[in-house]
Amino acid sequence: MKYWNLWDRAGIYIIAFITLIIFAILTPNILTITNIVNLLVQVSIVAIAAAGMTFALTSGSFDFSIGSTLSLTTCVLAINIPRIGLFLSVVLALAVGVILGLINGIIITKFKVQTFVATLATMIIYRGLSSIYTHGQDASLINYRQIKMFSNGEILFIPAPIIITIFVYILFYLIFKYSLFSLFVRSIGSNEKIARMIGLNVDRTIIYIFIMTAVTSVIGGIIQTSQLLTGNAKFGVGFELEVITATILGGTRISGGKGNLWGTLCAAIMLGIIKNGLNLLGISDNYQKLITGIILVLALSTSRIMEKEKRDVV
Amino acid sequence: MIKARGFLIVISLTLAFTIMGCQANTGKVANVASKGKIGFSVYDMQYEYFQSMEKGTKQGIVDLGYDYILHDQKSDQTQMVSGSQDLINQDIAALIICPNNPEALGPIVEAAHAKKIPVIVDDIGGGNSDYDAIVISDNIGGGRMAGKYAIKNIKAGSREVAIIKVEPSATFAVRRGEGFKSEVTAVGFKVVKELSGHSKQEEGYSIMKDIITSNPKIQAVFCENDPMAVGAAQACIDSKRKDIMIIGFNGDKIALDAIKAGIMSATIKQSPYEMGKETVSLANKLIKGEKIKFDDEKKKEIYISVKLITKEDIN
Amino acid sequence: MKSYLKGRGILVSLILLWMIFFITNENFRRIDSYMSILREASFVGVAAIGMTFCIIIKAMDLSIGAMIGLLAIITLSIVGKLGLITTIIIILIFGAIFGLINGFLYAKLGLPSFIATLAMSYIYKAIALIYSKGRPIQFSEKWFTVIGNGNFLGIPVPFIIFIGLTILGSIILRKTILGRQITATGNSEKASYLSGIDVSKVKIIVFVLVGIFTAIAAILISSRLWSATADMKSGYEFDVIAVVVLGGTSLKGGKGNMFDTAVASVFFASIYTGMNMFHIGAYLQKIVEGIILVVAFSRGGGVQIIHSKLKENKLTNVKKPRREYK
Repeated sequence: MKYWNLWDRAGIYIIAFITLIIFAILTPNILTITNIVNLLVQVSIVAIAAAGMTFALTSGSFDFSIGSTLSLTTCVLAINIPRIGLFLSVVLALAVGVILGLINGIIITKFKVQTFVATLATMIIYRGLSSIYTHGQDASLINYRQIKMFSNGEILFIPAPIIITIFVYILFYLIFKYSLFSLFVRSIGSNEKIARMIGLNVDRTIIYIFIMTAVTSVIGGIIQTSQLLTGNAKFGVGFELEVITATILGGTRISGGKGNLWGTLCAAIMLGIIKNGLNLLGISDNYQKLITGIILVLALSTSRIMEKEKRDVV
Repeated sequence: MIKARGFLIVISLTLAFTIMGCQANTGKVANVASKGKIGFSVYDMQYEYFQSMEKGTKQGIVDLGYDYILHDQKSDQTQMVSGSQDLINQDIAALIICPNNPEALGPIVEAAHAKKIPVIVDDIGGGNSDYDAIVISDNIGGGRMAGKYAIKNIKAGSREVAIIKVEPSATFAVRRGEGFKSEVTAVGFKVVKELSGHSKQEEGYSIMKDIITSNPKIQAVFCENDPMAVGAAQACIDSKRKDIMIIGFNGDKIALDAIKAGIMSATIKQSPYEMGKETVSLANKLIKGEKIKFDDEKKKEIYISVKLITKEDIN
Repeated sequence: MKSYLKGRGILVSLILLWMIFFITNENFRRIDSYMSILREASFVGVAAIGMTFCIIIKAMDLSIGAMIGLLAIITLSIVGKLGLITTIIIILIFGAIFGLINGFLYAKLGLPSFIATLAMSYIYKAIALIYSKGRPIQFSEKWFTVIGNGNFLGIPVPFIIFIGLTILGSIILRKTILGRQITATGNSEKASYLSGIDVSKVKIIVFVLVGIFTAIAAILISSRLWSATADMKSGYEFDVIAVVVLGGTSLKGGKGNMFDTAVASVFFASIYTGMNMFHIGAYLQKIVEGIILVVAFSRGGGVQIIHSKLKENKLTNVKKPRREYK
């Protein structure tokens, strides 16, 4: 009877653990320190954006435009670092992210367009902006490597991306657990009509949510630019799908106003393990998509069955 | 009451069309009697390779006095077919196409030939269709060049190499890896990993990192295109492995920059600009009814050679 | 006549659009251009017939893009060996099975249609990739390709098929009991349930219909292009949904009209062809796409429709009472 509760919260950890064991048996390389560090770095970009998406999903919204925001970030950085230096470029990129999130929020709240359509449209528009901004070219930072500190820099031998991820998750967890904002987000997710009726400023909260998702993808974009030293309009295609998958697998449900931040992190890591493991084994990544899809369907179905059991008992 | 919304859509779109129509992609020449139009449908203008190709094609067309119409397939095969059909419906004298899916050329060539429009294919592949001519880079030869370079310049060691491939649907480009493989395996090298990076720079980066983990004795990696090669080169640096040789393919600017900066070893340079011009000259001959001398009569192929580029070649 | 035109906004818009094209662009003074539009409209239109049923019951099927990739690949692989009729039957059966799976996840497990079909799209696409090893599949025999590319009495064959299917879809929706049940379910699940309609079954049948019409579209598309790859129609579902909504079928459910959907398909195809004929650059084309999406969907009204759909979903997933209270 209590199983559903346990599953919803612990399910993802169990699945992730099993996945790790399977791959560890198939390729012991996966457990070396170098690989684990490597894996966590690779996962960081998706994980950070997923932290923001967790809030969005908890409120019942989706943000499909984060891939394009990431792409635009790389373009902004690559073009401006040579001109105005690293610090100002990063500030500029963050500012652009805030504006993009603001636009998303406004389209959804003021023009009353549904979240997934609105962000689908902005996804197309923001990517178009990236193309126009770079004139369709790749912008190279090969001679301006200061930005490398975001990918190569280390504190106590831990690479920067991992540290940023930990930092973001701790911060977001505190916000999630203790802040009024989080309470609003969850109320909107539970029942938006009632949230409005009791006087919550739903519109403003939603705008903040989309600024959040945009800023987290900007941070991801900074890390990616740092890794690849390039900016172009082709990055981040399919990014939103990876992020949303991780968030849903992590236990955040769109219909309940419940969010599971650590679950999201765990799911992101698990998806990374699958990708990493298959690469180490030299297996085509078509199987990765298949495995991800099957796990997603199974996870969703089990969770639903558990929920129905719960309702039957009540 | 007619739905106002529908009206709104139409009005705004028409305004948009008329305004944007003024920014047409055509290159009209001042000739009074225009020789006709040549349409060029290209894979995806987001890539430097195709941008160069387009420049060459446009220049060739304008030089010869034709009107130029561009269509961008945006990596979508349906767009390729419908867009080419739209070009055909504009009564072009010839169609030059760089197809994102050569296998879907069939209906296009058929429709063009029905209107007596010659079809010239620029690179990628002919897809078993009945095109009139195809200009291709020597993909296999280029791969072999990369292989020879690796054999010549590799230091003593494990002789382990890897190949990062472009997406499998690029049936001609994947031959680059095959060329490389045939050269290196013949002298006893081992291809320990062959993974697809789907032509994406990010994937070149992450796959390279995993290859370093799974095969730390790796000495060289051949990437079937430059974006992936640059990504892989970055991964080597981030993993503190400057000893690994990275070879790319294309001759993109980011690769040349990387080679100059010393993080990448070499690339195989294609000549998309020249290929573009060549297709126009072929189109012109076909329009005038002249015969073409092919490098391969049966397959109607014209080869454009590729070049190995290393640091010494970049000034 | 006037009352027919009332509420036929999309038809009037289309006629106006074509008139504007005719006047302003020399390429639209040839019949070929219009035939091209009709041909291109057929593919998205056939898929949209199935999707109309889906939108009426306030659901969405986001897996049709992946389905088309997979089904087109299968079609081209087997049609040479098994012949046209057998192939059609097999593909339709596959489409129905996919629809069954989607419908099951939606109706029996109560997953939001959005999420269920998104997850399944991963699986369909992965299967397609593994089956085709990522390479395109090709089949070029005339007797097959004429379906997508041929003309009959000057009119593109796929368009004739499309019209026929639109009429069929309309008959199903308006003249059959099933159609009534679908509309009722779309209007109010609770009321339909209470009046004896097996809402779960209706939902599953709707998804099966989507699967079948998508399968037909896949056959037409594979014939048109002579070739198929796994990701050839990635993202197609959004185009199809946009067409259905553009045609006036409301996302709030309960109302739907096949002919409006058909006209909207032609409108949609006209926009794309128009952009090519006016030589509008690729980036601008993308932005126009985005704008169309926003305009098409902004008739939602105040509440986030998906959100409220989810609410309804949760509330009506009530099981029949096991015990009766005496």
